[in-house]
Amino acid sequence: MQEKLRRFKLSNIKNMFPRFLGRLIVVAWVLFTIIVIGWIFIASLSTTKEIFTNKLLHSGLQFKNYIKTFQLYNVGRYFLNSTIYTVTACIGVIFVAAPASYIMAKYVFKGKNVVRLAYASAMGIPAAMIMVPMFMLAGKLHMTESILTLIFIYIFTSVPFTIFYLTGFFTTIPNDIQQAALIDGCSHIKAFWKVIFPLAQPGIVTVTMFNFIGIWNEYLWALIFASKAEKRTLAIGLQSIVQSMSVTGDYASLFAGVIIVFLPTFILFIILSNKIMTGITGGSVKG
Amino acid sequence: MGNMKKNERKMIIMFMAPVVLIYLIFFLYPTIRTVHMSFYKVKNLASPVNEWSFVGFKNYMDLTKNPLFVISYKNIMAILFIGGLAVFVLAFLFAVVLQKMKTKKFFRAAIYLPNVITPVALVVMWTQYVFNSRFGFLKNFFGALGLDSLAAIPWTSPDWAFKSMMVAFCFGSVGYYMVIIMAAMDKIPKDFYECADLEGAGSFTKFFRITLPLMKDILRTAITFWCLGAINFFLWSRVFSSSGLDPKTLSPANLMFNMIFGGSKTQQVAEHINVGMGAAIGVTLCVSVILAFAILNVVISKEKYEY
Repeated sequence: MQEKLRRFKLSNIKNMFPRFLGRLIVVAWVLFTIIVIGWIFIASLSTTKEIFTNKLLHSGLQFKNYIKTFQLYNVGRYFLNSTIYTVTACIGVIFVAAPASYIMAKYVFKGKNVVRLAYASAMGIPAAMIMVPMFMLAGKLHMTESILTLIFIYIFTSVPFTIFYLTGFFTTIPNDIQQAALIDGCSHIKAFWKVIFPLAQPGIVTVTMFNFIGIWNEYLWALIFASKAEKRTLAIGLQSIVQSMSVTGDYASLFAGVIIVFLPTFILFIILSNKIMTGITGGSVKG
Repeated sequence: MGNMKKNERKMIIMFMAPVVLIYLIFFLYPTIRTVHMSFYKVKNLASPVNEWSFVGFKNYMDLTKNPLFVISYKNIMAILFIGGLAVFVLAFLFAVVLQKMKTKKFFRAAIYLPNVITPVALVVMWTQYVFNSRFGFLKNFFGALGLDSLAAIPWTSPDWAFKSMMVAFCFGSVGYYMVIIMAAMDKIPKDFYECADLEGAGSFTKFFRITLPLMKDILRTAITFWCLGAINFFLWSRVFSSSGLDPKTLSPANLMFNMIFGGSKTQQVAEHINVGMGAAIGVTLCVSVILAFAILNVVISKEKYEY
């Protein structure tokens, strides 16, 4: 008995050190994240001089940095653009992908496996393979300068993941529900939109959240199709602020810009963090 | 009943047509076109097909002789292997540590957070604040500890740029893989560990004999994602250095972008802008993806454990 107790204590101490070390690294890691974001936020409310002399907030809160970023660097316009691109594409992709996902989950038809395989592999096709012909095609259609082009591209690029996610979700909806709607005299199409689609809301919300974050943060396609100032997204806009920084040295406004770009997805994350965590695993672990 | 079947078929066609069309126009057509184009010399993006001149594999041969191309591939290989090792080791470590913490949810969210921030903003946070040589975090942190030689390191200078970029990129990536790994660990039945405990197995034995084998499937998926990310590495490469085409942080996708759309006009690439060669880079990336899939499937075999 005593021998057992001694061994227990010994292993306890041996186990405690790695655990303590592990926790220390985790805490330091998170602390670093918080300090960096917190510092940027505080710096965005200080003057550039205070940033350089490590005396943040000495002259009180400088909200004028934000006003300046909006006026001088056109951030309001970029914000509006990003919102238009993101919201429109998020809605668009659902109307394209949800019906198809439902069919793939519940119906048997010729070529189903081909479509499934095609879209699974589409998730692995690098954007590098697509961008040149797409740019040429848009050029032929005189659409390289159109807002619609980027919206379409965001819809198209989001289709593979959305189908993958929603197909998994629709398989969990029982067949009886559709049967009941059909017996009640709905056509197949009506049964989907009136009965199934509203039921799929939880899955649609989750996948839209991921699409939103993905499209809001997108960079490559925006660089190709929204380089002109009046069509720029926030990400491209922020980069142009960084570039002009080398001339102006206006760090305070730059950090205000960072906070403006960062805030929408951050707020979304604070509200929906649990949903996002389970969503990631729903998409990758099950599949 | 026949009417019912007809109705059903109509629905399948109507609902599937858009996604089939999108696949053909947006994924299949451009992929074939890019492969096709990679065998031609194409002067610029506006050149019509009848002005393309066939050069066979010359674009590919020229690429192997292009020092920028070679460097860019070395760079993404470093990210893939060195960065990947660091990210997965840390993600596993954090997943194991968090599993036993009471404040698990908060820490999980905080470590995941960089994944929802616009990457451009992340790059700015790192280059303009953390790595800043005048008021930066690292300078002040090492300075406060009295480690003056570390505090003086010019993190964004050419000598350090690549290492700094990799650290910053990997820092933000750990959270995503940690969340996936944690979820997979949660699914492993607890009695497996109780059994191992009774037989006197240590933490390491338990990890390598139980946890790891049972997570094979998810691990393969996660590593696949990591490979895709490394091969498509573009944004960090482009935004991290002030000039768009800094060989230190260059990635193939970035080089390709410059060859096609022309980066800054002062760059040497502008004079021999060749869309065909850019397309060839795209093809090498796609082949790399396929290769990575194939290797992963062989290395991490598909045997399934039922539990």
